[in-house]
Amino acid sequence: MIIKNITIENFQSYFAPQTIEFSSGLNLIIGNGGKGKSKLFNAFYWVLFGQIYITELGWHNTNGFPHNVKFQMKRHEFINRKALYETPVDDEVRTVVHLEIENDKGIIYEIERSVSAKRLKNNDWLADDAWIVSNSMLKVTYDSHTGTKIQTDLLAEDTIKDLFPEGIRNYIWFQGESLDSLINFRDKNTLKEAVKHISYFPLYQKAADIIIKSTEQIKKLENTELNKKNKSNSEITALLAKQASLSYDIEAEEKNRDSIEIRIRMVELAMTEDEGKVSGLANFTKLVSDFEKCESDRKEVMHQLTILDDYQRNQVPNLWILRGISSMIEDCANIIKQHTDIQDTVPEKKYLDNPGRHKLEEILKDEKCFVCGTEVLEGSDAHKWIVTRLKEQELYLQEMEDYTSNLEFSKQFERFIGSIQDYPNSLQISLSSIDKQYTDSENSIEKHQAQKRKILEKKKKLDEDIEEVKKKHGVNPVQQVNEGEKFTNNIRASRSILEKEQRKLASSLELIKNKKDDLKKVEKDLEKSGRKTGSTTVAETEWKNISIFLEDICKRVKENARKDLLKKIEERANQFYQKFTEHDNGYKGEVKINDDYSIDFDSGLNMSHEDRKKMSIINAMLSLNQEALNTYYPFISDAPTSSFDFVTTHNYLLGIKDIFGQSIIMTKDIDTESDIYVDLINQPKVSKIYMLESNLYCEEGSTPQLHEVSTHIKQLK
Amino acid sequence: MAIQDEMYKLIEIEINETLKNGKEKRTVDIQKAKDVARMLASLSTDKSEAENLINQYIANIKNICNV
Repeated sequence: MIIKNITIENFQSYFAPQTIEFSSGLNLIIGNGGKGKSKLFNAFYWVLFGQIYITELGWHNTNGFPHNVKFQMKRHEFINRKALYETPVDDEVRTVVHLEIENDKGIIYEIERSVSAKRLKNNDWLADDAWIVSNSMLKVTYDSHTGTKIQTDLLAEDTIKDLFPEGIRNYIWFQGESLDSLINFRDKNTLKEAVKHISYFPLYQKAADIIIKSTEQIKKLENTELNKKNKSNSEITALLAKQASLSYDIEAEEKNRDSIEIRIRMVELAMTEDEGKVSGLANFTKLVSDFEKCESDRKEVMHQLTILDDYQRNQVPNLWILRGISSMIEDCANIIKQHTDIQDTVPEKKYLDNPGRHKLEEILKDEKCFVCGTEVLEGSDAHKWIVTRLKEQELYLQEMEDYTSNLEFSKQFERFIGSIQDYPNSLQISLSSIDKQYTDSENSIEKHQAQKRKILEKKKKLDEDIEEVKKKHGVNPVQQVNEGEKFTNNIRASRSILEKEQRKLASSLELIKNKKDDLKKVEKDLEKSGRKTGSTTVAETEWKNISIFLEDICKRVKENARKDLLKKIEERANQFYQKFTEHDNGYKGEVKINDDYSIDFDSGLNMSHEDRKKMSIINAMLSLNQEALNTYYPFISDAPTSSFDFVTTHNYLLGIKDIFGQSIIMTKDIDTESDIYVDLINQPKVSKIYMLESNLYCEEGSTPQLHEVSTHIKQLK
Repeated sequence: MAIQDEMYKLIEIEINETLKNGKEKRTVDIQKAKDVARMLASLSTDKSEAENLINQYIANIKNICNV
């Protein structure tokens, strides 16, 4: 079977009709996060099964939205937002996905699912009550020998079920996120389930079931016929009655035995789970103590940062005020200094003596010097000098008078200055001190931030380790550190139940054995009686004997086929695993599958290797199944390789293209600029390559709203 | 080889092995047993559940044994 094309219109991120053509071989869809890979995967699943995948919630039918209080996806939310946005009030928008499939006989199936939504409101167009959304309508069209068939609803669903049986879906429509639930090294039931769904073994199981059930039925038929034939022979009828009664008892006891065995398996499973958890908790005490230390360090750093932050919040206003007035403080200090200088200066005693004022006035009056008799006429240099000296003396005397008269005020001012002159300095000291404290707090914050970064880095690593423990042992060592005792008690209780159930099983097996011995004895007695009377053989006897003979054979063939299949899966998974890991130089281990469906867990490997092993097993099973049943399904996978690097992804794709008749892989782990990409596109069986990009309907540079982005499909090969 | 042929081949090998070792639970007409085995292998590939194939098995074995 191959998928020929898909047309998506107004579904999730796909606006307007867009078609992707597929061929046999590898079809690759490349796209970074958010470009529409998962939406394309959803489109495939929705058109066939009416469901979309929601992270951490799994597959959900879109007719049932919203499912519960926790999960509030609105009914119109899977319809493209641009299409919704552009629909006028009272008008309808239609979402359609159309798929064309060709089965192995060459019959083309056209499968189409659609919904329509009517807009009720102009404003608040994303509100619950803004839309009336119809249930999805399914239509399947194909040509049969009686002409073209068009099916809808349940008939159409039945056709899809025939095309893609329910059990196989999760393995061929592969979601990377669900890998653990498909193959889990801790849970052997996952491989058992996989064998049930994607292998030929169920046919062997079915053959054994048919013959076991038919033999029981034939025995009853034979008994009825023999009773009829021997109505008058009391010895034989008594033996036949005993035979019927014993057969009935054996059948009932076998049912009882089966239910005991189921209970034992369940208890064993629970016990293995609890033992794994206990061993997980015991083995990771250091991890837990490291985590707790890291968490306490983180809390302490956060506490310190909060204190520092509070301190800064309190100090910032003070600092702002002080910084704002610091220039004024400086001005004040200068003013005080200036006034201090002024009040300290007593006018200098100048030019009062030798000659004194009186003598100088006498010279001017007499116009000659009283010492030497030299003439001092007006306009002469001597006259000018005396006038200047007299002015200076006058000025000094005035200053002195002022000084003397202001002395009291000056003393008061001095006292005032004396009382305030230290204030600016004190304020400056406070300012510097607060400034220093603030700078210290800044440094401290930086130091704590560095510590925080270190701790968070360490925590991230520890979180990853814890995640790994959770995956490997099914236990969260940090959250469940105190539950060790609870698990130990569970194990103790399980052991006690197990012992009880095993005793019941032993006694049931003993009872069955005894009844079967009795039955054999009765059958021998019947044979003897038959030899005597010739009436203990009917046509059914031969059917019964052949069936009993074959039942025994088929049980052995079934068990051999089961073991042989597990060996083949192991062998082929190792071939794939070798291919996926051929570029790794370190320890890679190997896939080891045991007869009881358990898969050896290798603690020396990292998650990427584990995932590669799991995918190798799934691929091995699918390829073996294809070969055995000659039925080819397309393998469709969304993000199958999230834990792989580019080279591993490349090897994975090379493997995939050879295993499946058609594969459609959606991935982000391809670098279209790299050499390995060039190698990939030139490989045979690499049919089509598409790139998913974004169409933006807003102005360049602005952040688009969700209704302004849609997926654009670009064909690269 | 189709899966039912593969299955029959394995049953036939087991029949021969069982006879060789004398471990058969009943003495039967081997050719008829092999014919029933072939019919059983074919039935196992039917889409119906095992429960729903019992009557078909009985009808078929009746035919094989009456020949």
